[in-house]
Amino acid sequence: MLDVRKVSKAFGTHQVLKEISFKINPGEIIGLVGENGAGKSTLLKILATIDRPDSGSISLNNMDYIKDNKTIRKTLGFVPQDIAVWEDFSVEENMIFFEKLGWVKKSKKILHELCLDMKLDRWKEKVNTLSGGMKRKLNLAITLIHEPGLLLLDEPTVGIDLKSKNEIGTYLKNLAITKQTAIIYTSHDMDEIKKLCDRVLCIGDDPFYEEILKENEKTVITL
Amino acid sequence: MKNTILTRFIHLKKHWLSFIFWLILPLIGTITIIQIADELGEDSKIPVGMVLEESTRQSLTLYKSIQDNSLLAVEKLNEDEALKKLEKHELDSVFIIKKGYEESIRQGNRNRLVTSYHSNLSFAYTTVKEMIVSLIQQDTGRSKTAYIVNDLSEEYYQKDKWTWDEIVKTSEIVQEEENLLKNSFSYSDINQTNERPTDALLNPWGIWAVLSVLCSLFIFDWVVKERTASTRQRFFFLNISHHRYLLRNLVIYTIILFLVDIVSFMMINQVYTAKNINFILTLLSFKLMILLGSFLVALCFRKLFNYYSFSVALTLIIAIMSGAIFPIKDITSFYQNFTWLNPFHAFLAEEITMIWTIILTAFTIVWYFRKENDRNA
Repeated sequence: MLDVRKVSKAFGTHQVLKEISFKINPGEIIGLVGENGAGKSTLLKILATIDRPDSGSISLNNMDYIKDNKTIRKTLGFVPQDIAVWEDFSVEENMIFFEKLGWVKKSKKILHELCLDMKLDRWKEKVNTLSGGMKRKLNLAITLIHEPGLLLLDEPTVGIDLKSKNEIGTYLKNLAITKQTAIIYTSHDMDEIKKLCDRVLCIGDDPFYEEILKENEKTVITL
Repeated sequence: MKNTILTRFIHLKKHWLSFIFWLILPLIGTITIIQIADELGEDSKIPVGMVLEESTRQSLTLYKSIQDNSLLAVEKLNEDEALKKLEKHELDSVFIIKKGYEESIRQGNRNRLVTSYHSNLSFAYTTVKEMIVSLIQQDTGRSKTAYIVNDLSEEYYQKDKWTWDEIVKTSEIVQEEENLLKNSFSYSDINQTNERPTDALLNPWGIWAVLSVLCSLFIFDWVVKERTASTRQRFFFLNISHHRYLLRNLVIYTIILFLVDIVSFMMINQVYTAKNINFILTLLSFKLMILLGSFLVALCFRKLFNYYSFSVALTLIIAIMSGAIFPIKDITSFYQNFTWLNPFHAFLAEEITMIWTIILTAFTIVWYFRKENDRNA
């Protein structure tokens, strides 16, 4: 599905990513770990077409990231680390707003059901009155409106309670199984990574993450 | 476009009250400012009492001339009432046009035609007195002239003899028609004469124009808010790019503001001015320039406070420098070749705003295509 080949990226003289290569299959959940500044967010932004690599190539479903940029964006979902929602809108208004400007048309009922599946049941409430966990769920729900084939999540559960974390984790697991969505997930929470991911990609030179994950018999690939 | 309108409607629902406020402020503000200026003007007039002991043509003409003075609030009373009001300092001074005024004028008598009263608080008495004296001198001078014309016509032109009344009346008509201060002039080789617009201190459309700039800038704070919002990154994965979304919203706002401007035109025109229907084109071209300008200015800011501060400062500069509120004709006459640089010039001259609208449209197009290329790159 996703094929990343020898991707490199530098900011000035600082080499962030150096000839990274990996493949991801449909329905697979991949954890992306590494120390701060190792390049997790940079890689995620490149995969989300927000940034471009200096060298290397990426293809999704045999479509080239540079040539088929527009088509690829239709099959991508990116959940940013910031909560990218309208704070003064209700949950319903946020869902409708992004559905109206999105690729796929969905009825209000389907949008409501999507939220309920995620245990986001405050449909009429304003976002600025919701808990952090609810906001994170909405952040994810908006990304899933157009049913992306590849879902990229940048620390989607940072700063939320354990219950909401588990609910998001369970939802993503089901999503990967039922809709064969490939998921790339960055987090500093190793328990979450161990529980949720089929494989883990370690970025950076620090062997810390690699050792912890190997203790738990996870497939770890060091990039 | 339909979907963009729906999403804009969701935004507007959230702050409809402030939106409506900024939308109608130019109209309401113009009416209020003009109304206050009128009220202040009325209050600052000098209250003068007039007593007419006779109702002859000459005495009524004098009374009307005094009444026509925009600085005086003339009250017609009887002598007792007038003096009581003067004692209470409700009047600045009282002038009595004595019985036999017209007869005295006819006889060329200039003394004791009007009796005046004033109090220890009459601050404008001397000025008003001088003005009335000058009007009486004008009348006596006219009378004397009438007698001379009469004598001359008797001596040299016996056929149709003119009466004193006819000569005075004709002289008044000539004075009215040949008033040098109100005449139109033209160069000898140019047939067209242009009526110079009166430089009223407060021009309703000038006030409207300045308030429109402020309101358009404040309405366009959505550009700053939405460009810096975290939701912007979602537009990479939406059917519409962020800059196209901004541009479509510019069109939506332009249509809404145009509709409000047409209503403003009808209301201001009804109350204060009598502009031709073609003035709507002048008005809309001017508004288009303001909206494009506000949009481009808003694109330059990332912090709302800085944007609001700049908007207020820009409006103040425009209010002072453009000539929209305060007449600057004498200043601009020094650099007449550069008047087109003043974005308000065309509007105030009731012409269609072209140059700035074209420049700003070009900037908007360049901005749009540069962003479009960046997105596709």
